[in-house]
Amino acid sequence: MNSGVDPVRKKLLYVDDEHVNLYLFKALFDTSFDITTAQSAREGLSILAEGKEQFDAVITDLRMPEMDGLEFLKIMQEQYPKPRRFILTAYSSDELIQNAIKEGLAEQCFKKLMDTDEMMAQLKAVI
Amino acid sequence: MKVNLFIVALLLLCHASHGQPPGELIDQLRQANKNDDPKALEIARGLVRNDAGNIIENDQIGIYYFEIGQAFLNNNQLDSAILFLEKAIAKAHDSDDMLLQCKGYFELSSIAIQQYDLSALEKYNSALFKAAEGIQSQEYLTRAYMQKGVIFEYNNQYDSALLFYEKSESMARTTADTTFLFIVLQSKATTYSDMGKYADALILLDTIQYYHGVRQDTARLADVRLNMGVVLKRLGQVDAALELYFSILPEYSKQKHPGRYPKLLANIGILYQGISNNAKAIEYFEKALENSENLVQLECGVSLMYSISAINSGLFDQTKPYLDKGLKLAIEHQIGRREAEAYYNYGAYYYEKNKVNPNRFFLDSAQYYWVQAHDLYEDMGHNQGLVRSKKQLADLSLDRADYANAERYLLEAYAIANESEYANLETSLLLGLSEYYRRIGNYQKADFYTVKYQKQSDLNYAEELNEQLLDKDFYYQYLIKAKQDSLNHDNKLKMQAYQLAESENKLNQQYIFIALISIALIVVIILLIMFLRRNRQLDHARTLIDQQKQEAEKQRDELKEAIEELKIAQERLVRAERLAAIGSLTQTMAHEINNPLNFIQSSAKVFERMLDRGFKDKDQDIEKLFESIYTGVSRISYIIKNLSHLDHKMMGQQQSELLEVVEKCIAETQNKLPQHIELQNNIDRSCKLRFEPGLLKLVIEQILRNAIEAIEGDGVITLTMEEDVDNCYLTIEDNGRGMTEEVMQKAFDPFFSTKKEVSGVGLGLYTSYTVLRDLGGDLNVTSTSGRGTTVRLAIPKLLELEEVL
Repeated sequence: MNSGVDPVRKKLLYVDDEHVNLYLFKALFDTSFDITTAQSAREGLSILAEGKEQFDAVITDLRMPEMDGLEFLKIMQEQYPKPRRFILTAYSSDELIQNAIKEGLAEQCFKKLMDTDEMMAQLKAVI
Repeated sequence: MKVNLFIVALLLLCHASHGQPPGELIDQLRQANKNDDPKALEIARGLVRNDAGNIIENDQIGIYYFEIGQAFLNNNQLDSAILFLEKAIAKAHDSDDMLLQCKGYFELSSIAIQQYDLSALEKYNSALFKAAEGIQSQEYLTRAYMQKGVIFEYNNQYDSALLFYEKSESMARTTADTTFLFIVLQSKATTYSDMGKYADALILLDTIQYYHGVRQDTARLADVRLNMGVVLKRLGQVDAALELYFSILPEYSKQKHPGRYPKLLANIGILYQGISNNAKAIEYFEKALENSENLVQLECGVSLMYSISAINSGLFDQTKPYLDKGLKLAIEHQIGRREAEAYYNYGAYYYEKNKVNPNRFFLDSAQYYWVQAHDLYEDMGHNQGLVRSKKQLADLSLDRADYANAERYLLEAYAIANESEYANLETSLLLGLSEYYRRIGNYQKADFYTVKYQKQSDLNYAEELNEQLLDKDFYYQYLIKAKQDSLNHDNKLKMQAYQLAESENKLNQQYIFIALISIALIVVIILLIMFLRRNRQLDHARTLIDQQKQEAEKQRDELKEAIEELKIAQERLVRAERLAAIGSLTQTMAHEINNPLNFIQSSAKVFERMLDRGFKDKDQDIEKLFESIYTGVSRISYIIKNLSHLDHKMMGQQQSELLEVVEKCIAETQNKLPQHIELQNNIDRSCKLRFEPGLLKLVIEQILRNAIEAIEGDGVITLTMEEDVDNCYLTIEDNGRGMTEEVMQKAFDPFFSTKKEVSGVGLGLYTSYTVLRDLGGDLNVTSTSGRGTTVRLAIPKLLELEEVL
């Protein structure tokens, strides 16, 4: 399962403030994607700024201390527009999410509890 | 045998021609009238067409005419209704049927009220008094007093009108005639409004609105709201009036009464025109016109109003057809005032058009029409219209440098305006005169009129300001009382239940009275048996008593049912309030549960995959997976504990005592309190609250938790209390790190937290605020970064009245 070998494996950056979420996400998805995790929006931004890796997509939680997911996405949209942007959250204020999608901050929102197989299939289909 | 056959054939023929025997049809008609069933009109027309009156027995004929009259009345065919009601009354006089006379006169005077026919109303009202006094009918005396009040109101004698309304009101209350009681109250409100007692009118209407609302009588509710809208408009509360009008649009749109719906639409248009929102005004005038088929007066008036809004918006192409239509209708139906108005608007149309696109023809046309309007207003003695026309003609003459005519028109207009005390017109004319003289170089006269103008406009402004202040004052009075009122809604229901219980008592007394009469009857009957030995009469008396008993029991049952319904309505109100509070809380928690649930689900998924692969090299992960599962479980159980705690408390009492709750919170917080933090309770007296103790405890604990978390070194948390008439204010102050402006802005957002540990995501400020606000309180936060945070809770106090009940 060495990620570097397979050239078609897509690179994902996952941002969430809960380490349990980060660990489980990696455990679930690293069979199909090359996953980097960040425990805050700032960490996510500094990983992007380093530019060591070219991410195909970024998935972020919404509710995080210091800087929330929407602010993070906004900064990404301006400075790192290339990776595709997704939301993964338990927070279901539909209006907020709808607006984010309408403004192009994210192209899709996955909701916890998610069906991991379906999420995997959808991710594979779009990126 | 032959004769019999002939009769049978005749009867069959009779049935065939009328479908059903008239007796049955009258019963059907009565039923249909009672239910306001549109079928009534059809039946009534059928009966009249077949001249059924000729074959009806004599003792039925009065009732027959009455029911037909009623059917026409209910379907707004007033002339036919009057005809048949008069016939019914004539028959009632022949047969000395006073009750039918009461019924007939009451309906006739109601029609007179609808038609503003004062002389007819006076005639029918005194006849109604005579008939009602003749049989001592409380029901019809109540109605007669109310209609007498209307007579005074039509004569602008409001104090006397109120006197009679109140007489009628107290009678309706003693006889528990609730439906009519609220009709009387509505008349009273109208009178208050006419007297300028707007606050009283609004409060009364609000009560009536509440009553119809509880009974879900949407039609009456809409009528009350229309009246409220009219009062609000008079108070200058255009937005509030609009809101009310919109709320009743759907109800009026399905009413069969012609004219109500389009009139409401036109009223909305006028409100918009008043605040210069011409686009909206046009939209609603258009809708009104679409719905005013066969309503000539309305169609004509609205077309002309439409034209004004269209001119004001510069939509000249749209204006002309409506002007033409308005004028045509006014001439065809001889509505002089509208005809003059149409000419005036034509003048304005051409004059404004000339401004945009200067053209001699337009100016000539404007002059022509304004002269027409001027002459017509003069003929009618309509001074306001006359002054306005003269002013326009003066402006136009000035544009054409026709100074002689300009001066003449201005001076004439000013003289009339001054005499008729049209303050606003007077000022604009004074200004016109001063401008005119300045233009022709007569500065002395110009200055004279300028001074006069300034004086007059100052005076007008002062008066207007005074009026506005008065209006505002009325409105605030209303708002304050209405707030108090809404707090007492519960009490109102209790009072109604109490009144019903009282009338039930009264009925019990009647019951005893009936029993006494029954005993007397039995004695008489026994005497009769002894003297006449006729058993049959005894049997008859018994059935009579049984019937009366049953009747009394039925009424008792109905009262019980009514009380039961009231109780249910009351409970529903309380429950709805509580559900709203629980709803916002549980929603927040449901979001929170999804996250830890996801830990468990995802762990299971990973675990499942590992099982499939036979564990291999990832064994060290199993421990981490279990950890994730337990983290999820413990977090959910934490939330559930809060939830069940809450749910349990929610079913408890609605009252609490602030100090008691605070002490409990402090006792529970104390043992978790770090050494370096001091908790100071400065509350020294008790304050009774209208608030769930369990919920309040959750809110206070939440704020204390936040305060403790905010203190890093040594710190103090202080609790103090203040109160006013409505609320108790609990202030919780800490000297912790405080919040930056950025954090403050988000402090009330759901799920916003600055805490990093897991326990920091439960119930936040958001939930505390929502709960407090939903239950009539408030919460606000002030904070300085580095200095500390102060949270102030406003909690509704228990009113003394509530305590007693």
